[in-house]
Amino acid sequence: MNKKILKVSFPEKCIGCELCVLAAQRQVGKASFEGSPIRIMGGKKGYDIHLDPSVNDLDVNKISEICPKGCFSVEEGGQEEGLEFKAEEDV
Amino acid sequence: MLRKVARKRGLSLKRRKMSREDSITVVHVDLEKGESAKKSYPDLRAYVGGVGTASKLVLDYQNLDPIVFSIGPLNGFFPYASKTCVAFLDEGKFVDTYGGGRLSTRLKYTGVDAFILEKKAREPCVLVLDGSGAVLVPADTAVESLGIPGRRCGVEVLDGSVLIDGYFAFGDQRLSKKLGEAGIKGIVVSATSGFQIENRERYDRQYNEMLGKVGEMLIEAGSNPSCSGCPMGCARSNLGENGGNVFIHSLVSCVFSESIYSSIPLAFACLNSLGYDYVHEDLEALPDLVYTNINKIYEKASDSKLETE
Repeated sequence: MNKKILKVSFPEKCIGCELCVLAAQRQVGKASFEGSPIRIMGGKKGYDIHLDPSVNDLDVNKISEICPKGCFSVEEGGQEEGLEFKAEEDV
Repeated sequence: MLRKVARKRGLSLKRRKMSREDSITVVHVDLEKGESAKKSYPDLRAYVGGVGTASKLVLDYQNLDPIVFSIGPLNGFFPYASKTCVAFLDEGKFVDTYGGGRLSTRLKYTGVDAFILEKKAREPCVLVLDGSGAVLVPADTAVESLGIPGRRCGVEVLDGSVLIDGYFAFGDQRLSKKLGEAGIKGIVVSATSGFQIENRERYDRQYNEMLGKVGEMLIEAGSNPSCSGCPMGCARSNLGENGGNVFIHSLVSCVFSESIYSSIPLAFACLNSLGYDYVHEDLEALPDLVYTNINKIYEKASDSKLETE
């Protein structure tokens, strides 16, 4: 089944406001940074947006839309399941 | 004080859903001994937060030459509420100054409403604070090497300025001198806790309403480093603030959001969505409470000077 995938398309535009971090947390009923699938790293020399894959379990459109600088894009057609690896003896 | 008021009016403070408890949580840091202790103050709820809480703590611990860092009920929960108040005495004068960046959200999500630096450190040091408490580490430890990446905030004490995350200054340069005299070269706060949102639908609605008021901000949006929780990226986020509107600086939002948070119905709506039971009289009484605290601070200082002489 396809799912929506959140991508950081314009990281250089990030101003470090963390609205995306807080929006992701609100979707799971939290006001905190603990367990957030998004972290904003860095400081005055620029910010890096780190996403972990669990962000795609959320409503990524809402996260993308809340960014005041349009740093994100949402791609359709991502795979829900990750790659599957089998142990050597099973191959 | 608020509990008494609430009981008298038959209100229930237990409705405060997103606050960890009914009290203001304060971390006391004894710089001389290198020890810290977390304490709860139910009576401080009447002072709301920010300069309200800080003025009371400066008064109550005046003999320890305190430097109080204090946030408010909206920090970490609503847009534009992005400042941290720092209050202290400089040559007998009460100073309240404000800085932005990530400090207020980190403090909120550390479960700390305020921390007080008391007395002076024997050796220059860096304060490291998280949900488990505070420790002092040697001053030669690089501030950027401390704390949890992505959940940390670093404050550096430089000659003539105090910078949050290397960019956001406080409004009053006397803070640099004051912290330097106390032996503090840096402060690192890591957000290690947080809040469960019990009434998510109501909170989301209120949050979105506030975010939708971005056009009412009294400053142009830009592409500068922004304070946590604020979408503006404005050109003045790095300058800090001083004194001014007691209500705004108790909440603690920035001066450019004054047009938004000065609206009492809106402020009530935000506070109520978080479960706070403040009523009009509580908020109206706030400026008087703060000015009374400051007057008492000056009286105490004057009495103490007379005793010394």
